Amino acid sequence: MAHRALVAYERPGGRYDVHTSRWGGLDLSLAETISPADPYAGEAVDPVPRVVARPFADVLTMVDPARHEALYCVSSEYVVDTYLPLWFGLAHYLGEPAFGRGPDGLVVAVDSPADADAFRKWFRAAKDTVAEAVVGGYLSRADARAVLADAVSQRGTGRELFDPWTNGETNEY
Amino acid sequence: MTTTESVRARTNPSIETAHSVVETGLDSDALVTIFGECTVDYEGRAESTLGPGDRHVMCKPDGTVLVHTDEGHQPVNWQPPGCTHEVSVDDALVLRSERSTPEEELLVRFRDVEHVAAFDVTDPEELSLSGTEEDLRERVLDDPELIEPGFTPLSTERETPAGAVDIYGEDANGRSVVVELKRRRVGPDAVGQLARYVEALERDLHDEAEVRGILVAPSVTDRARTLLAERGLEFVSLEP
Repeated sequence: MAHRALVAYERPGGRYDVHTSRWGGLDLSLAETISPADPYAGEAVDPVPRVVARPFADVLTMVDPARHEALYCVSSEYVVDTYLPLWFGLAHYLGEPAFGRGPDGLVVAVDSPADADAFRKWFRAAKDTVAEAVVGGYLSRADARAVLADAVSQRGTGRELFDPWTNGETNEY
Repeated sequence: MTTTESVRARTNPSIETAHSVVETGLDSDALVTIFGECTVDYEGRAESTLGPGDRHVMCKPDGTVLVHTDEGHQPVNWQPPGCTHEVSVDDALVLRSERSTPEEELLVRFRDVEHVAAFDVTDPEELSLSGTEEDLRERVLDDPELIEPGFTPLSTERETPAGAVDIYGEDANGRSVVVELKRRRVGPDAVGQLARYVEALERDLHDEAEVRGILVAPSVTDRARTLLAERGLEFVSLEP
């Protein structure tokens, strides 16, 4: 709901405390407002952490791509890296129950609100096209996932790209 | 073909190629322009027809359509924000723009396209929305009739197995309502998010519980509007 985001703050030692933000997924602008003097950007980030002292791999698996629209990683020096979760779920296109399926998708690095906006719109169009092919019976769901993953990899060339949920195997989605 | 990260354009394209550029552009919320010889038919509060002539047509992601000739600053035909665009091919490139309230249709048929382009427009003003982030939710809580007459908010941040619901309430008939708030134009994935909350809440309540889902956003894509209708979910347009 809203435009929810996860915000991970690095602790000394390289582990992260993970907080939530209700609106932080709107446009990635929290990257510009989080600072040492204002670590929670006013009240934009819940100051109570959901989990503490987790490795980055755990932070990634906390992302729910169906629900979270951004991930922020705040280094101990307050350099903020931003990522877009890209949800591969197609159940809502196919009229199937959407709740209860495992998370599936990729997490890609973006470098500004404008970059995030452009990538988000591109992904929406790409997913629409792939979904249309699945609905029309031209593409299996497994192939659809592969096509989407390949398209994101190509569009995201040179960017950090994470696949937190599948470990190289096709998940149910 | 001219292609950069943010512009796709073709000069003297075939009708099929022009269709592809326009369709992809509309799907990706680009600003789409078409120049060529066309006819224009409008049917709504009045009726009008423009015979064949060279015109420049612009489709904006918010649903606006503008048809310009080489004179004047006003378009010769237009559709306001909120209309839905469709593009198809028969013996011409056909652009159809519709809205239901009031019922209006603008039909532009290009026999020949001399130039077509799709621009991914990012306007910094759009990204720095005014108001505080809680404004939208506060507005709905202060004036629930913005959602619909008889809507009563019961709680915010109600937890469900699919996550916390923005606003949970009841309609005039006592049915449970899940309201999802979005501050920018959204696509099908917002429909998927809302569907998950509705399904999770129905499981949380009893077997016979009917839960309505309402997506609140400034606008939705055409595909999202179709999926909402297919799933029995609803949309309320509200600016942040």
